[in-house]
Amino acid sequence: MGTVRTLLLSTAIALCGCSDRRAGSEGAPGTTALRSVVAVTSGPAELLAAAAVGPDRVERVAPKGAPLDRWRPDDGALDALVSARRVLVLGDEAEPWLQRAGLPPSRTARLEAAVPEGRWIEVGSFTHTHGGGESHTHGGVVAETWTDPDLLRAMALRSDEQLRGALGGGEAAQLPAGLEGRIDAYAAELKALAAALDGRALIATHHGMEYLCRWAGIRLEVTELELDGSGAPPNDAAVRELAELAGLEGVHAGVLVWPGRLDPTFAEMARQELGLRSVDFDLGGTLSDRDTLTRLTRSAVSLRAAIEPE
Amino acid sequence: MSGILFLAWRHAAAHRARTSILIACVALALWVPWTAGALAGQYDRTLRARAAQTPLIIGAPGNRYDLTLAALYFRPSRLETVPYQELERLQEGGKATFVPLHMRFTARGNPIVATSIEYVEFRGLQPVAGRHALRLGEVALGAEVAEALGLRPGDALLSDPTELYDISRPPALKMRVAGVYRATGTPDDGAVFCDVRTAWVLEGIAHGHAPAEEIDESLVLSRAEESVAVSGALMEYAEVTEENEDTFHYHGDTALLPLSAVLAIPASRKDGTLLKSAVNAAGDLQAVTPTSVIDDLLGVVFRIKAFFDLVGGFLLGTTALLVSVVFLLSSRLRTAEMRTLDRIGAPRRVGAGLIGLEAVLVLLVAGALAGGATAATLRWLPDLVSTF
Repeated sequence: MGTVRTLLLSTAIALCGCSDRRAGSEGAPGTTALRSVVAVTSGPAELLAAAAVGPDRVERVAPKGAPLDRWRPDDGALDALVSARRVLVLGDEAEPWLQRAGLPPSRTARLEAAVPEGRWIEVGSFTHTHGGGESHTHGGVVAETWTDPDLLRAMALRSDEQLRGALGGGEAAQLPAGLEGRIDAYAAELKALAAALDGRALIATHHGMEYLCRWAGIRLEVTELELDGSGAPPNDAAVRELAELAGLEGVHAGVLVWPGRLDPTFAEMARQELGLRSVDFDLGGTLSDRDTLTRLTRSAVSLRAAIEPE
Repeated sequence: MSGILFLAWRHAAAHRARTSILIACVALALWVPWTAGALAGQYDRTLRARAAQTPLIIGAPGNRYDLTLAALYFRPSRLETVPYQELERLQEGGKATFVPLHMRFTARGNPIVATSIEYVEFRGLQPVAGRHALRLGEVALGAEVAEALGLRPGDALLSDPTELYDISRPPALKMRVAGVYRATGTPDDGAVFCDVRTAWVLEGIAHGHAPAEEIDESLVLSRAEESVAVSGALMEYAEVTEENEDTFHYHGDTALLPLSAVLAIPASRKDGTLLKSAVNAAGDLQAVTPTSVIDDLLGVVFRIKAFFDLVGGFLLGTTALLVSVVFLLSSRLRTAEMRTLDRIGAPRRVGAGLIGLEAVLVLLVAGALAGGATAATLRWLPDLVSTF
């Protein structure tokens, strides 16, 4: 009888301890009205959110193909973002609209936080001061960190950790096997690309390939043509630089890689006058019909195919 | 009306001045302690309720009363700031939901509370018109502010300049009213809410201007390949519009952007205790429980109130004695009237009853007056709690 009483008392004490919740996760601000989805505005975020919580619980807020550096949410998109249980974004560098929109800090996970301080690549930073004030820098950091397989793995672990618990998907432990395998396949494709280049440089029109080239040990030469599709002429200095690079036989792979929008007029001119074949390279930043890893891997395959005849 | 009541009424009415003075004295003597008690009770309830709804406040080390009153009632104070990275660091710990607060500016005298959507959700603020202020340069108004300033969604509200004659300080920012919140009867009704990023524009840490590459050469002090020094005379945008929104950017390290305080909403009491002890043990921040701070504060206030209760008691006692003297003297003056009553066969107790009934009438009217005056005071006196 004494044992039964002790057991009952222990159970009651344990239950009291378990129910000591003043503002449990259900009671956290706003959670009762939140939708059980992860809102995303970029391709990498969609890929990693889907891997962590399943594609059914991922909601696109930005339209397909909207450029990360120029898109900004309208009122409807903002409402969708603040009413989602989690928002997965790349960060201020890749998505500048984040500096000007009030997302809930407690529900927003930033993938850039997974990038160690020393791993960022800086190019052409532009510093200015106002009067005697503190100087500050604009631009200068390459944002496409997800193209580095190691950084993508780190981001995947972070998103898994941040999303899985919040949406009731159990404890985060390790990367889903499918995603791990696909990142490995992408990494293998980059290694194959580096081998095919055999020390030759890639010439690109945008810095977006910096991370994947650094990871694979590929030398990258960038000439920012600043063609925005409006029909405006390219940057003269960049064209001169490109012509000089193209003239260096055996140093480059004979291709002009377009990580951004390919300009058919300039591509044709580069082929005829500089002997450079243009190749499109989709960095997978925007939302699209195919996920980021598929697009990155296919781009690497296409690029390898374009340089192999040499 | 029975005869004795009629006689008492007629006597009181016949001596209007005396009766009025008696009623006024008794009403005043009742009004003071009643009002003080009711106000103190209301004050106590409201203060404790606001504090009880707020589990933890985290801020820079310093005066915990200032920190609590600033975070709960937006009381102006010169709090040391907390860098934004501390909020992110706390958030990583996962012990609570952390809500940023920045309260260093005003708009037409009303506190600008720069925060995040979690604050609005936590306090249960509901837009009665428009929507929450989620964009840079937008504000949502508490009900009292909207009513006092006559503003609606779509109108503009200027922030108050911090240094009127210092041109190096950022100018007033013209902010768009995005919404108006339903009245809650709390200090939130008297505040102007915006996203924390808007406060950083007000601080001058974030600003917008023409791209540095396109700035008028007369404003460029020096230009190198990767840097340009621009004159302080460069005009920064004083309003965030759809056209110039993309030009707004931060100075310096965004991790160091300032906050006045952080509200912490722990997932459980245990998490709250662990969080508080961890923050206070680290020493670079302080975590306070608002209920204990308010209890300490009210402890002092109510010690003073006990003294005033005593004074009120004396006042009532003195008034009662004076009223008794007035009725005693009055009974002497009415000796002839009492004798007449006796001669016409009225029982002996009718005389005493007549005076007693008149005293009761005076007390009843005075009590009703004092009750009405107390209710009116509570209704019309400015809300002491919201202006704490």
